[in-house]
Amino acid sequence: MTDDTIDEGKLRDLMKEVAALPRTIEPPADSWAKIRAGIESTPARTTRTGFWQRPVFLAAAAVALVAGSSAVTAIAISRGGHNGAPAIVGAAPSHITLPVSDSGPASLAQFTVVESDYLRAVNDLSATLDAEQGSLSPETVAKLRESIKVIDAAILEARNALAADPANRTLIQMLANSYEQKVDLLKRTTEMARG
Amino acid sequence: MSHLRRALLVAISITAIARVGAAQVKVERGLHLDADGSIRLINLVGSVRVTGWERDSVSLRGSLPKGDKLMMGGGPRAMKAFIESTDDRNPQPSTLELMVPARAKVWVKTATADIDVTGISGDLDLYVVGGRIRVSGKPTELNAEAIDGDIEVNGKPIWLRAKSASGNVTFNGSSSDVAISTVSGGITVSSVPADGSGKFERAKIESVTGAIRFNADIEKGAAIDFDTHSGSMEIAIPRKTGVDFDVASIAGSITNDLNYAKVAKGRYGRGSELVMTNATGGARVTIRSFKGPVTLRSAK
Amino acid sequence: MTRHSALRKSTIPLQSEWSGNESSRDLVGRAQNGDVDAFELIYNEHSGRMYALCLRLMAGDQAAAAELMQDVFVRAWKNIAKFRGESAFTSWLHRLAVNAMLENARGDKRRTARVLPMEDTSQLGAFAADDSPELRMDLETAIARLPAGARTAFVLHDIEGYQHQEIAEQLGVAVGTVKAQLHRAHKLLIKALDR
Repeated sequence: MTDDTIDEGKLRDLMKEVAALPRTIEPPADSWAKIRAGIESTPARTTRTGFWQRPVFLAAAAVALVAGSSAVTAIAISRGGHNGAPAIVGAAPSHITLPVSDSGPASLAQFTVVESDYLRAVNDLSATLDAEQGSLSPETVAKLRESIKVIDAAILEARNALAADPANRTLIQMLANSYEQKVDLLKRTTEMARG
Repeated sequence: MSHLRRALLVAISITAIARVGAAQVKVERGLHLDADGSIRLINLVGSVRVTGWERDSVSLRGSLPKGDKLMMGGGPRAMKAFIESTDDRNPQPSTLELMVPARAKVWVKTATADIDVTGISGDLDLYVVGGRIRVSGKPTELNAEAIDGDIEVNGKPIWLRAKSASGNVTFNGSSSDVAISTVSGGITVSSVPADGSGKFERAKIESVTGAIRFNADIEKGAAIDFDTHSGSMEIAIPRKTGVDFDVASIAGSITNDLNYAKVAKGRYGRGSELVMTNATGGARVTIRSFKGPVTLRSAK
Repeated sequence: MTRHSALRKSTIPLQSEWSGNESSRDLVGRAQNGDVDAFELIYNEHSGRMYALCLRLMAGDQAAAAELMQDVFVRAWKNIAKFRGESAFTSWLHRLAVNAMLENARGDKRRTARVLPMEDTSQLGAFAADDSPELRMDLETAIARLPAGARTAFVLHDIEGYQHQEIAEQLGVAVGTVKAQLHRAHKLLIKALDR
């Protein structure tokens, strides 16, 4: 049997050494500058923080796959809306704002840069899936198209709301989430179709 | 008529009908696999049942359509099994039952075959298109993906990823790290054991239009995110659990039946939000809905 | 988490707490109103101690510690409206730091090194790398080499002065688990330091 006891004298000596440890350690000189940059990138205080604020926008670019002929996405986006931000043709604007999110693009105009990465990924995946879908049953293809349609409707609604409220970061996050779901679904289905 | 019926079957789906009759052939195979070895299995149509046991070996039993072959091979660290069909374009159902070392890493892929797994404490990767996935037990990591199929998990995987597009996801248990995602499928998460065990630490639960039902307890310091576009959300936690809530809806309603905190109008009077602390706070729950109604209540 | 100085075991003196320092209260109040300069003063007051905590929690990894500390202060800025003064500001920052560390450790790093679960005392390993009896480690290095669960318990209890119950509550584990981890830390440190 292993002896699990600790010599009290040795423990006291250890605690003496611990007591002598410095309570403060000078952080790197550039720490405040970085913190300030993090603070100032948040237009208004937010309560949404944490692990799931991953760099979704970088991830979007990273999922762009095999270049191929573009498939048509279900979103019609025309350039040249108000403030130079793309607008949805025939959109009904809604003037709703919410507590902001903390990372990523701060406005629709900034988001459109990332959005083009999403669209490229969607187009590439759609093209790949079109080539592979012979291995899926027609029923599955129909269900998939139905799901894509559901996501596209959500994207359109979010985008319309954002067009009327371009600095709403909560809406930007929602829109990004919907794009991510679309990319993820296409990617998963493509991988399954490939076997 | 038989020709038309055959064509119709091809056009509609590859349905999972397991029949053992004169057209089926029994198979049985056993191979050594290390306790923490890996096994990879593909069976497009029919069913797959995997059970963990305490032996360092794999036992595979099943029935295959006549003419199809079971291909199985590998070594004690990794093995693979799949059905070589006589007609790849129209594979017929095979029923497979595997006993594998409980700690093995198991990877299974099907098209419409259902997958049932019990007693695995290793890692599980399960992929179906239209079949159903059902897992019971405590796998270390569980990744379950479906396009159209339902996913049902009962137990305590340490790490869980469950995704379906139009299928439903049901999780009865708890996990320290969860991500569940559907498009139109519903999501139901429940676990409020009387003994205080089985809480959630870190979770992201999202749908586009599917309804989300969460009825479970949350660890102190947990971080839980819920997102939906238009699905309804019902989040129930024990009334005494300390949670800092941040709820926001662009165009949907928020109802608070958990405590007396009032829902406020969103900025500029549109939409609604609820930022409040339940009990002593500590865990963080963030809820975002575009237009789906959100309800907070006390867990039963 | 609340701290009761009368019950504190550690002999290490604390910095002045919120309740006894009016200027700190003023600064927090100003920061809650959006005054970044006031927050910088708060940062200056607390950064040394926070960095020391982060460095020890992150096993001596300076880059990771700096990143964690920056994350903590950005979170503090975002959530400062929620600080109601019922605990010391330092305690509140500490809680943010531990939460941030736990969230980062639990982050979506599938099949890469995970923080040893606090519950899993059966897997408490020995030190990695150099076990040469000729070399006597200094205490900071020995702390850095502790298994993650033991290190967290040790840093929070013996260096920062929290009670078992407080640590258990924050980490979401049983008090017994904290005590077991602490015991393990003491044994390993005594052995490493060749006491």
